[in-house]
Amino acid sequence: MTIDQKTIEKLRKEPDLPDLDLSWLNPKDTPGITVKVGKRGLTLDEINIGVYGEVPDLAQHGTTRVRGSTPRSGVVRTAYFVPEKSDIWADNATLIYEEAVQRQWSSATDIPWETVQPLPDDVEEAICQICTFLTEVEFIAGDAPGQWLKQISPDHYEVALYLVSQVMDEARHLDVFRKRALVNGCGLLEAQGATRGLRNILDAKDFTEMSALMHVLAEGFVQTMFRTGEFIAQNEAEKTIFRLCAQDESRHVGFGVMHLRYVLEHAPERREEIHHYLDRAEQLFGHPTDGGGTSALQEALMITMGGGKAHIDKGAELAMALTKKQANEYMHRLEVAGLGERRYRMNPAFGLLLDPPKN
Amino acid sequence: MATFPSVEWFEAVITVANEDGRLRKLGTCDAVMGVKVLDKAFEITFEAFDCIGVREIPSEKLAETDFYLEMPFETWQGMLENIKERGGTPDRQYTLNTIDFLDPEGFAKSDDQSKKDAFYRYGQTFQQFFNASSEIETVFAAPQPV
Repeated sequence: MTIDQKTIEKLRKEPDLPDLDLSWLNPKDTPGITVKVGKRGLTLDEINIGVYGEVPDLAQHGTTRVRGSTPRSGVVRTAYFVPEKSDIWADNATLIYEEAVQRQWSSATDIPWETVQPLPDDVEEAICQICTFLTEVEFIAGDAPGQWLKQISPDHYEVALYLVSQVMDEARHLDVFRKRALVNGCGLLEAQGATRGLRNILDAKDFTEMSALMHVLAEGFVQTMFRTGEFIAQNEAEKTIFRLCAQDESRHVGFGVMHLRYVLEHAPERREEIHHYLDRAEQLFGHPTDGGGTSALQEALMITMGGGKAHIDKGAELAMALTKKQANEYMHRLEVAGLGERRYRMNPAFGLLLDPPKN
Repeated sequence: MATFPSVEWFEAVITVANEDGRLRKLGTCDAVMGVKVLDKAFEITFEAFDCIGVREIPSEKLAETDFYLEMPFETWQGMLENIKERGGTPDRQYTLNTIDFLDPEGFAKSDDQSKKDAFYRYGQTFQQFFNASSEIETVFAAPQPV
């Protein structure tokens, strides 16, 4: 194919500059901003000032427009977001997110794996059964918040960042428990399958329902269990795993409690609805009649906490103390959130374990 | 050499804990921790990456901290001696987690569970703080009840 001389001349010429708009250089609605770096570095709280810190009660657009930027017409919608701030908000979301970023750790390099040494078979198998259960549980703990990410508006971005940090935490928990199960000659044992209680979290149709079931109830229980890790652990590596996971889990519980408090303060008409979610969850979660199969976990805990099958009585005593602590701390957190009356309608399986109220 | 419990003892621990970045490595920690030993009470403040100070306070002010740690003097002594003997890595029965779990009332106390959760959120930081006491010489002197 030949190209005529005229076309060649045209291609050789520098293209004409297009007409420039440059209207974005004169923002009318977006004021300038100056921030100071604080002791913790430049955190979200430091930049959340002026219009940038004004979180709307209603997210009214379905686009990717970020809070504080200038709107533009003709932009395509990308999602249906949860519009109501009170449905997803927690006042500590930025604090918890920044803390999560600061307090990250690596399962590859921050665990003293060299301290894992051969253990008696029953203890090693019990540890591996616990790790099998926790690996499964952490999958769900990551999937559940992950399902909600696409529904958080850019106007409420702090919550999205927190949720992402939780997904990262759960990914690390999943990998560290899997590594522990595989590192010492035993491997993964019996899959428990998502129990009905855990399935209930995945099925939540409402963010507050998901948060109350997962952050306050389930992760509260798991956090208490991780704190007893000193008894489950047989070496410094396992102690470190449980301590670090307990810290992470505490952030998730902290978000959930503050979210529940925010909902009850800003949408008090939801109180009975939340009780309904908890009624159902308490029936399913960790209930002795739950056919989902947590018995292997309970037995494995008794063996590790007792120090072997021969001392299972001692382990049962410690496991009972753990369950009692779990129930009481769950109740205390509900009190902090503003749901103190839960004490009088809690599933008896938990309610019977409660200490008398302080006042 | 510093006497436990005293402001001087906590200041010596703070110096060790802050000096080589061992707290910074663990990430930010924002909490006010109380410590009660017999009739003496202390308030220890953690801010951002450091422990920034300690002061003696009246016992009734402990309620204003995020949480406070309380146990018998002998148990404090046992824990700190074990930390010293083990070079900063206490045996299982002397870790903050274990002491808290085995005490039916809880070693970490607060009327507000969400504030008390700071004890767990920053657990490694507080454990490192007390582990730092292995690097100072401690004299134990039980305060006499008033």
